[in-house]
Amino acid sequence: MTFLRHVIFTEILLKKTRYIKTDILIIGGGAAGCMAAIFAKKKAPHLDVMILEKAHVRRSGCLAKGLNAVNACLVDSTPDEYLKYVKNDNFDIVRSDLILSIGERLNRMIKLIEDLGVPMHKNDCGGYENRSPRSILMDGEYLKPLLFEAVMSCGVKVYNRTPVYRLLKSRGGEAVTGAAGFNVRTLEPVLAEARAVLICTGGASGIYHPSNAGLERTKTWYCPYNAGAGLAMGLRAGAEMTSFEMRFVALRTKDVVAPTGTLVLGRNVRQCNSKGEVFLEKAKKEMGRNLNTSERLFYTVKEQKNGKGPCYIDISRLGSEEYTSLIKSYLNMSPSIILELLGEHNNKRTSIEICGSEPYINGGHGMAGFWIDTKRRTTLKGLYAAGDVAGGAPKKYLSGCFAEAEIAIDDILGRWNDLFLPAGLEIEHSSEIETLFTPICPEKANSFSEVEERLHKIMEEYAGGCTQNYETDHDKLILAKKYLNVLSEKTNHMKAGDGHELMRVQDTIDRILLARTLLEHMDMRKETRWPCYHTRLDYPERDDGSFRVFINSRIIDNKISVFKRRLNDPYELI
Amino acid sequence: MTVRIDLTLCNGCTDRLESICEEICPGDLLYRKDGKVFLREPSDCWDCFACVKECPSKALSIELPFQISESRQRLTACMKENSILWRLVDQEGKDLAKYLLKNRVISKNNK
Repeated sequence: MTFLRHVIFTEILLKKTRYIKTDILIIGGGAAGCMAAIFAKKKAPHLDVMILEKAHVRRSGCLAKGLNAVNACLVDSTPDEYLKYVKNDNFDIVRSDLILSIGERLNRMIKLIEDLGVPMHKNDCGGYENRSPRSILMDGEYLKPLLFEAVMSCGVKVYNRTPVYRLLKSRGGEAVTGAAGFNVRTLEPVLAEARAVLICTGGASGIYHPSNAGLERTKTWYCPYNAGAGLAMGLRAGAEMTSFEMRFVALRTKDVVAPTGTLVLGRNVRQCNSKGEVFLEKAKKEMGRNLNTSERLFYTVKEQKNGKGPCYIDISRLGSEEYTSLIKSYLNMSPSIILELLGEHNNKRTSIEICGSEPYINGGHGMAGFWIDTKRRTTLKGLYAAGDVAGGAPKKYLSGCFAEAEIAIDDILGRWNDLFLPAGLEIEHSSEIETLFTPICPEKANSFSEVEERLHKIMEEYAGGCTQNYETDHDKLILAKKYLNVLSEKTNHMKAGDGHELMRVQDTIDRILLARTLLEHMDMRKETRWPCYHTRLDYPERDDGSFRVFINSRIIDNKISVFKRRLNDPYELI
Repeated sequence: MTVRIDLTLCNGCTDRLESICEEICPGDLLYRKDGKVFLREPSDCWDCFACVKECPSKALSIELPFQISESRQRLTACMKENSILWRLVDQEGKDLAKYLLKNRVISKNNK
């Protein structure tokens, strides 16, 4: 590969910036972004709708691998029961209003998935085949290309390979009126202006040391190319964020990090420790209730700590038909595990080791993300958020992301005339572009991978990474903050030899900002609410008296401020 | 190395502005040089199989890195009109297992 390091800066300055004007700008063409674009075009065909996408919409984001189930579906249940389940699973800290608004739409969204042409599993009565009260099965390998085809067929404009890193505001700063990024291939700076901006960029992986090392480091559970750009640009623009400290940690198969739900739900298998004990059943009996998602991870980690690891899923009881169905299910979502399942000489495996992933910042499984209202408006005028980037409503999954996309688009269209009309891109906006290109420094700068590794090391060791059993305390968090501050000062210059490397540099800068914000959240919540997601060794119990609240954050005067908000509407500051 | 590119099969999609795998890789990791496709940084690959599925020359497959398994079996896929054919092959490319999965329903509604 030819490195352009020495000529790149002058080359970019000479390039003409591409100015784009549209009605509705959608940042990120993943599940939420694609569905939002489709809704917008179907409901208001006369409007110009545009997606700016970091990769290529056809196979990008979390759905790049495919999906074998919809985990938020109300099979014989109601939105209220869905809320009750999510609230209970998250130890009460959730935005009930957001969850209800999702719950009301879930089953309609599933019909839309079927209408896209995704083969859904049906039972003898013609209904969806479910593997749990909230999860239905599908063959979703081709889901993303189907979404892409639908996006293109309704006339949405798509700019692929165009990552976005800055939000643009009107001259007086009263509203968000656009976004700035660049084309990875041509290095052409891109400034887009719109009447409404909807962020659908997803959550962030790559904050912690991955659970695999070396050449295996990108075998993460959450999409490794989701760097949390939307969260970072929102923070920089002054938007309020919520619940970063509720990190999502997935209980996954070891090595290839495939989902365990596919193994466990609706199948005749057992989760055991190395002694063959069915430890979750024991914990369930002791607690006298079902375990929450975070507790199932916690007890798995606990067995390992107590010398009863590794833990595994015993699949020896699966009949050959069920084994084939398991393989087919994984081919739709996490194909690499087939190489493990069938192994050498085609011998069937009888057990699969499981462990926790590294922690992620995510609003689709967890509830970290933009602080929004029921209309999916962020705290910045003209800016909306939907999907994994939107906080407060965990366990929304695919169908919930679609629901949020519809809610946001409905509100945008419903108040179209009240939205701020952008006055045209201003000269000062090009300074935003300059900040994107300044990291390109020819001499003595660090590479993004060096900086990434430093970030991972700090977060892993001081902020409760996988190897620390997800535990941390105040003193460690203080150290992590100190080291990250030093690191973030050093990142003004990083090496970038081409468009791909410039994107990676910007991703790294974003991840450091998100990690710093996460540390502030974790330090403020002086309790252990969600085991493993947020475990404080210095405050090992739940403290409902002080912490039945949301921890939110916002950048004020270049400083990350964290504060508490009450649990119920109108969510006053405390 | 996870994505394996068979350079004897890869034609670099030279009739296209970008090869298909280069165009769709969610991590932007594939690039074309002298009419063949190469992986920028093997350790950045997620194993999403997007490139494997979409390659018209069937030049791509995925194998587990040596760190995880000494097995050199590979998994490859071939897209049909409304299905996908998965093949587990050994080092010589001999079939060990095959799975044909429906991946879309073509109806009047969505065609």
